[in-house]
Amino acid sequence: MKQQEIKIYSSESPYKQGLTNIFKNMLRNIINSRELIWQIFIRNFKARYKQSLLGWTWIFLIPIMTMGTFLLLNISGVIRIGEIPVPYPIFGLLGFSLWQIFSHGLSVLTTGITSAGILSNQINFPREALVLSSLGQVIVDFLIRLVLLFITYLLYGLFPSTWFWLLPLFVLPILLLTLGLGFLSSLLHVFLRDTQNFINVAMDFFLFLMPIMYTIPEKGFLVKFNKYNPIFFLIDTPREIVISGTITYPFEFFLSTILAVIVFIIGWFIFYVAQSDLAERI
Amino acid sequence: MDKDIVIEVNHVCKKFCKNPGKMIQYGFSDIRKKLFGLKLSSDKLREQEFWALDNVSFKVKKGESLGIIGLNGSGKSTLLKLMNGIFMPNKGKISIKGKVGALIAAGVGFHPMLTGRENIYINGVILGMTKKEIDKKFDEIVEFADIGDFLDTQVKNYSSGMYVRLGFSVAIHCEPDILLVDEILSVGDIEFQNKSINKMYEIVKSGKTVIFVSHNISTVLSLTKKAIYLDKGQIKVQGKTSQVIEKYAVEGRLKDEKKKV
Repeated sequence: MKQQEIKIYSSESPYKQGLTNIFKNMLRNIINSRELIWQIFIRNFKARYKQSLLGWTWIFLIPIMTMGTFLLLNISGVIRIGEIPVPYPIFGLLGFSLWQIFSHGLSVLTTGITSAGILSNQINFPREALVLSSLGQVIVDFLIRLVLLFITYLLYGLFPSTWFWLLPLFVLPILLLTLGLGFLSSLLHVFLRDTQNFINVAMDFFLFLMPIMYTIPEKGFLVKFNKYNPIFFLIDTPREIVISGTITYPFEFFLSTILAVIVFIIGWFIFYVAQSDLAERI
Repeated sequence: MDKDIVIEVNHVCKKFCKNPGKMIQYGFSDIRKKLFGLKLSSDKLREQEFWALDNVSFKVKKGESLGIIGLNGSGKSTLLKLMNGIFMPNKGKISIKGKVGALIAAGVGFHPMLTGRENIYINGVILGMTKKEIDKKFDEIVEFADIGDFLDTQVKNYSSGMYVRLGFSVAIHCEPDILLVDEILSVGDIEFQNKSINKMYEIVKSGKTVIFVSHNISTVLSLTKKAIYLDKGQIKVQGKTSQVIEKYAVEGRLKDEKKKV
């Protein structure tokens, strides 16, 4: 006779099963729900596509508008874009696409649980699936922008560096950071529904503070701010890989990656432990 | 746990908070305590909290069908959700042996922009089936739901009856070992209701364990052998369904009379 596993639901602390078991279960949750993650992603993907034609063009329109804004600000002397090794459209689009993984990704992940509605508190399934399938949208957007970037390169008669195929590896840290923070913010959003608003406002603010759409200036407050800013390195380095194949801040990038991995593991852990408390309060 | 017991509910208590502000506060406090391994205040009620379930204990054998009856707000759905593992009890323990499926909220996970066909897959996977299983049972599901040519129409254009029939059909083909049913058999028109009840008979006869929550006395009587009567979160009576229903009816009449006075 098939040996069936006995599930026990109690008020006991999750630590009673030991940390190794907790991590094993965390991993098992993800692996077992891979079909679910895919299906939710496909469902959201199809629904987005069916809703409007404009839905897809926004992926191109938004970066074009943002770049246009910065170009105008540069021309009028408000912001100094500085010396860049490639035409501004390429520089801006690449920086923007990488930035959007973090900023838009965090925003979308935050509502991952609440947007699922009654699903979250009627059926028992690992809710990590909701957060992970929202990440799918972010990745798709990025890939589409990469295509647009390639087209822009060709239009200028240029090519990205020979190392650009390493991009997936270098984008992984910012993805992990986004996921880790997303796990935490999606939890927070269930309790405090203005979390997403806070995040959106903060992201718009940071776009100006970080040399994403312009180059890092020689001196001033911005230099100090970005010297210790891990997000800057996690975005600047992949950009450099594509443009020139060099890394200006290898040590800082390495440290930032470590931080991203730590944030990811902590965020994932807290999400796993807090899940059932979530479900009763959605 | 004995070999033939598949569900064991042991002195389970569950509390909720009435006030949304306090609920958020307690939520943060509980999560923080859990993360740092601190003891939770499970024994007492904090301000604005109430016991939805209080010291509930019972056992269910494999293949048994158990009815849960009680007035609205007596804790029936909470008990079902606890058995489904959606949230944890504050005190006590629940042990479950086997795959659990829930016939709750038909059409959960349906996206109105997608077609019936697409939603069958999504709904099925959400309820725990694999794509292969759904492929195998696809035709059965469609036939039971009786949505005919509308399979490839967007679900937002379905009538409410079609919507519910499709959702119910997917859920009922999940074939878990333990089935939790929450007042869902009264959906749809009379023809569909009969079809659903007959399908429930089949499931009960096939030896699956079924927990059945309902207000419909006659269905509870015909589908279950044992029952529990819940009142304000506590088990008032448990035993043979006919006896439990008698007690429920008597209490109901008494409460009515008290109100009239």
